[in-house]
Amino acid sequence: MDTSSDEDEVIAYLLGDLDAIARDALDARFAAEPSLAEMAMAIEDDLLVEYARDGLPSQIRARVEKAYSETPARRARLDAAYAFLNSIPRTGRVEPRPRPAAKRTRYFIGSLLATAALLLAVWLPSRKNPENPHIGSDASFELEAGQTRSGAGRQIMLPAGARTIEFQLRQQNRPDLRYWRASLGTVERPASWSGPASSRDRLVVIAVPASVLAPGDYTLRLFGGDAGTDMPERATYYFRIE
Amino acid sequence: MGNREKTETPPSSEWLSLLDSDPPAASDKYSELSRGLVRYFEWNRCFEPEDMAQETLLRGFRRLKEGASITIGDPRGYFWGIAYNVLREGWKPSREVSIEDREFPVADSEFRRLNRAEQSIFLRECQDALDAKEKEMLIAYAEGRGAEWGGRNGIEPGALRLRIHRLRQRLERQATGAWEIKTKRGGSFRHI
Repeated sequence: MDTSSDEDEVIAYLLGDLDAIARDALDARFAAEPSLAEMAMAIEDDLLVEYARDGLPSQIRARVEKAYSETPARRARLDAAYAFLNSIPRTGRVEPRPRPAAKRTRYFIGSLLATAALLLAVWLPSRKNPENPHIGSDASFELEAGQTRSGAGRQIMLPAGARTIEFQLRQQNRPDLRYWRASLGTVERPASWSGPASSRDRLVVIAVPASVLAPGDYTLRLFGGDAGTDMPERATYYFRIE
Repeated sequence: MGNREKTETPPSSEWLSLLDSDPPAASDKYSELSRGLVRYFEWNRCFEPEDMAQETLLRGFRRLKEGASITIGDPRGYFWGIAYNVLREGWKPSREVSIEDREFPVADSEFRRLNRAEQSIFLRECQDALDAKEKEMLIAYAEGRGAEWGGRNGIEPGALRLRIHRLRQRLERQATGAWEIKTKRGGSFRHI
């Protein structure tokens, strides 16, 4: 297997740039060489994670966007890349990758302009949203327990277009608990949303659909326990959506 | 996803034994195979990739049961060959649902309908079980330091990409299982 040319061909295939004959030939090769199909899956994963990480030159990024908006399943595949990337804890040593533009493939052979665009693409979003430089349209906010809505309570401005908001809840009492759940409400609607949470170090993380977060004052109650059936309240958080 | 009823119950051991005599190995092979077939139909811009993967699995297993044998070295190729034919003949899902259709679920189809933050939570939970080296690799990859990490550990970029892919497949399988358990326990991710 000529890995380098196969890689180029697979990327062209994924982005819809092969003609019908070449495409058919590659489809047939997957049956003859299943390891090539696995390699294609790995290349696709890598390409989409790179996209989610803002690591692609703008022209490749645009082609990925086009190719992965063609069917619901392909859109879901791109969403899964964000989900995977966002699930990985970071050390903070994020570096832009020189690999795609410099040597990975002819698809990524770019000019100095493309490299500059890449650096800007990584740098600018991180300036705009320092709390969550990797999530694209979503956002993440950290909350301290017990702060009141008036005064010290967290004031939150949701980014336009966000679909899901992640809250990282600080809690000091029982970081060892296995099961967590959160309930969100307003004065008018005390239980407008509830969902599971997961713990990481001293943070408990929940994901809330942005559609339930209209402007207003919110109370978020956190429940935790060692068994899924017995989960007393562990902390309360207050915040305001501007 | 067409009109077929989906189930998370794996195929019966009778079917799975056609892939491998060892049940856990057969189950893993089935999962890997079904996920790969879904990808194949996605790559070809099919609107019903999961139904088409099911059809492929149904045809392949049925033929094996009828006495066909896999003549190529890697059994995956046998199913990919059938997928190629399913695609070329323009197969479309039927409104009829047979018992056999329900025998071949696509493992993560429901999980992938969760939004990205919900998926992230389950994937993150599953990372607790990774060993230290795997976590280090994953973090380096996520931070764009994969090539540097691979260089220090003697792993070529292509091999690193494959390792990450397999690790991710494993995490997604586990996350799907965790999600199913929590959903059955009491309506996770419900709006109330």
